[in-house]
Amino acid sequence: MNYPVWDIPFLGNGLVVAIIAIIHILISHLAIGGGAFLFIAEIWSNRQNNGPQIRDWLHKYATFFLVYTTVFGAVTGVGIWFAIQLANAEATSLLIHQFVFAWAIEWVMFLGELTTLYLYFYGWHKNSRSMQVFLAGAYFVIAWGSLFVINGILTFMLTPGAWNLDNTSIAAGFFNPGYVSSLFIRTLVMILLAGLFGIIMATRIKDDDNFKEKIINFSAKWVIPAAIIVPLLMLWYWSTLPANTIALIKSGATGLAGGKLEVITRYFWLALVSGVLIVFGTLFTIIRPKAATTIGAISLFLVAQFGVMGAEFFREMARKPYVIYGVLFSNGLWQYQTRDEQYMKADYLDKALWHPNIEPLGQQHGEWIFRLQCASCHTRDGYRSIISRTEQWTGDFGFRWLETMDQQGVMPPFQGSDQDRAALSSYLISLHGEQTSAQEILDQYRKAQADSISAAATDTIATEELK
Amino acid sequence: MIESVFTILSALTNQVSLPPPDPLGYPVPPWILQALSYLTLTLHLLAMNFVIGGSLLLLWARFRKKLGHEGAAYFLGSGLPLGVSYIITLGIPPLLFVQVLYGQLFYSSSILLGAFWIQVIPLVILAYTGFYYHKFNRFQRPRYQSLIIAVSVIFLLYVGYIYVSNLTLSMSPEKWLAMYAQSAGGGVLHHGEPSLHPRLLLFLSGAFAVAGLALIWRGAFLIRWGFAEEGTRCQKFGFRAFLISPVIWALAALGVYFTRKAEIQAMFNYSGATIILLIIGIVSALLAGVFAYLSIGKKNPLHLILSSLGIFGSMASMVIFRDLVRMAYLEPYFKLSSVPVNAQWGMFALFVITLVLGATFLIIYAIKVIPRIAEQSRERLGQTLSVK
Repeated sequence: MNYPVWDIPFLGNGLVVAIIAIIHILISHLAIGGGAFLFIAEIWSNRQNNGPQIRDWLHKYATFFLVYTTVFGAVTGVGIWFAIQLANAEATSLLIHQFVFAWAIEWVMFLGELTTLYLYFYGWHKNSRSMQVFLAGAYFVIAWGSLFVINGILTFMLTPGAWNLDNTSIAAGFFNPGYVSSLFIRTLVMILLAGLFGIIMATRIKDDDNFKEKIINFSAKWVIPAAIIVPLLMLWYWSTLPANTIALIKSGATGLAGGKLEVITRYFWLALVSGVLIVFGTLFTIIRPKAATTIGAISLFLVAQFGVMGAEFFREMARKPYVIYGVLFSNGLWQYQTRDEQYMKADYLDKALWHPNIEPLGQQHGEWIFRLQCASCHTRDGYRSIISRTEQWTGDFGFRWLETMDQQGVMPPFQGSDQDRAALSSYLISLHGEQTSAQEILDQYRKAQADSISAAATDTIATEELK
Repeated sequence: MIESVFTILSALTNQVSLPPPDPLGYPVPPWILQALSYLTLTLHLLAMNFVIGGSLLLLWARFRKKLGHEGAAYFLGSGLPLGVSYIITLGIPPLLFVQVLYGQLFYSSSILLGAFWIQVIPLVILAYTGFYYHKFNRFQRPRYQSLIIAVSVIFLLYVGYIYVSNLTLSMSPEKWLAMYAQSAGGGVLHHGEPSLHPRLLLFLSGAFAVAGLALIWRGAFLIRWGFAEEGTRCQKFGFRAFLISPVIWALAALGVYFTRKAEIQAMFNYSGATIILLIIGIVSALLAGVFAYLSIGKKNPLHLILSSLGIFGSMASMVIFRDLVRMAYLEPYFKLSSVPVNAQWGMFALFVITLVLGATFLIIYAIKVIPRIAEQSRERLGQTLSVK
């Protein structure tokens, strides 16, 4: 809550991150797997009779690969960085300050892979055969090195392991429980994507001498094993997840506010089904290589994009309600702050930095609480809409619900006083046209509380009298 | 006096929403991060100036179609996508280190103009795609090609404007709260800062010098390969372009001066280093020009190397000057020395080792491969020139 919340109507800032991330993940994995593909294909072409023909085709692969990965891959990578700053500056700041030199090392890798790729590509017609094989191999090793580094930071967010604010050991955070399985999964996925990209490029071959078939067979070998092993590795990955996350996936939690977490299961399935579709699609191209069309191959690639989307939403939702598991909540509240009850119950706007002067219980009070405490995950009427989640609410219900909203395990605890809860509840129901002022909600609650106290008192007196 | 400026600012600080610095502190003493930023930001700005200047010269060459322009346009058209690629790559470390050093300021200002800040990504993708499109299709539909280059360069200029706007805003916390109350989605780009346009112009003032120098380098290679006439033509074209830069720089500097007179004067009082940096900047730029002129018609690269160093020195002094301005502006709010250092020397050493190994590897293989790539250009050039 040190930072302003980037309050974007309809999309919400989380979805901006997700859109950029999903595009980037597919391309960045291809960017590494494609390196292995170029390297192996270079060696393979040396051993084939029609080596030059293979290398002509490989040049086309490399051209598309270079433009696609350096333009869209590199820029969307920076894009994730831009988006996470906007969506969650507090978490980004923690990651940057903790892992700045890991990031700096990743940058060296990035500079290295880019330059090596240029030396490989632009030297295509003049470099010796052994130099080309070497450069392709070097490109792959460096690019995989960048994955080795970034994987530590990515998995840290969901499974920080022994790392905490008192033990900020880089090794503990970096080589966290989710690190190894995730590294294997990502490595296999990138191999798979390289093969799918190969199939796309193979479908463009026009000839009769079975060259297309040969290339499709070569590319398909990159897809099938990876697609089969990935689900097995996912089980391993599963075993490293926090217990709360596993419980949520298994049972699905339906929040009182309608925030259904079964979606997490749906995304998990989406990732699995995509894998199966890719296996069958690829098998089809192997059996009928001549029938394989570019549109069909691109469709398979898009299926992989959906798989990545599923996996990515899964990873993001599995972290709920945290952005860094067990450390920092998605809305900028620190876990350690929740242990201080007095702090949690204090007037929210006195603690929050980013609001103008507001009249307590006035119209704007609830709106600013929504913006600063809720808008990092919820939009009013778009993605994770708060209107649809509070449709059944009355002012009093909302007031009471907010007090225990963290008990479902998908939301952080509410920060603020009774006045703050009344103001937020009043604002939320005003979004679907119901007007109950914060003061009325508060009065109603206090009256009910006074009634129940006097009822209890009457009961006590009655019991005393009976004696 | 600097004090008077800061007293005005200090009076405002009680209304300022300024997040505290990250509790993890700095991973190494800040001067190391500053030095790394200076180096990489200078390289980033050189790449940026090459691309902006190169695109404009490319458009000019396509428009005027004088003798020698075709070759220059081909060279620039091939270089622009690579230039963009290195703008991005070399832009990463300064962006990383600014988040470590000034994170609480930089994140806040980014969010405050978030709706624009995020546009940087699609705009760069479009411009980058435009340059590649041109490279692969440059001989088809000439007018359309010029349009694509023009649109791409406009996008990049707009990206530059967004950057200047963000980084300027990060130094003015007194404006933040009002902006956030006005637009929580980050929809205010020009936040009433009169010096925004001249500042952008200042950072781009090297555009024609850098792109011009690239053409002079090309000319030197052409002369070395025996295409003396074409080479000298290319160098003269490059040098004429080079001469535009001082004019732009003077205009931009005057613009900044007149829009921010009090602060600029305060800056010179703030630290003697600013005056020294200004002098170094101007002298190295002048020397760069002199050496560029001396290199025309020669195949010996000595003058060219000196000229390139001059450009680098002038850009670097501007980068350091800029950081001093930032520190002066931020004095009432935040000092680098107020943040504790929780040293990560092991990780830092690992980074330095990776950097040294990586750079060594790249230099060795660049030396091995680039002459072969150049050889290919030479053959292609021999063919085109002999056809004519």
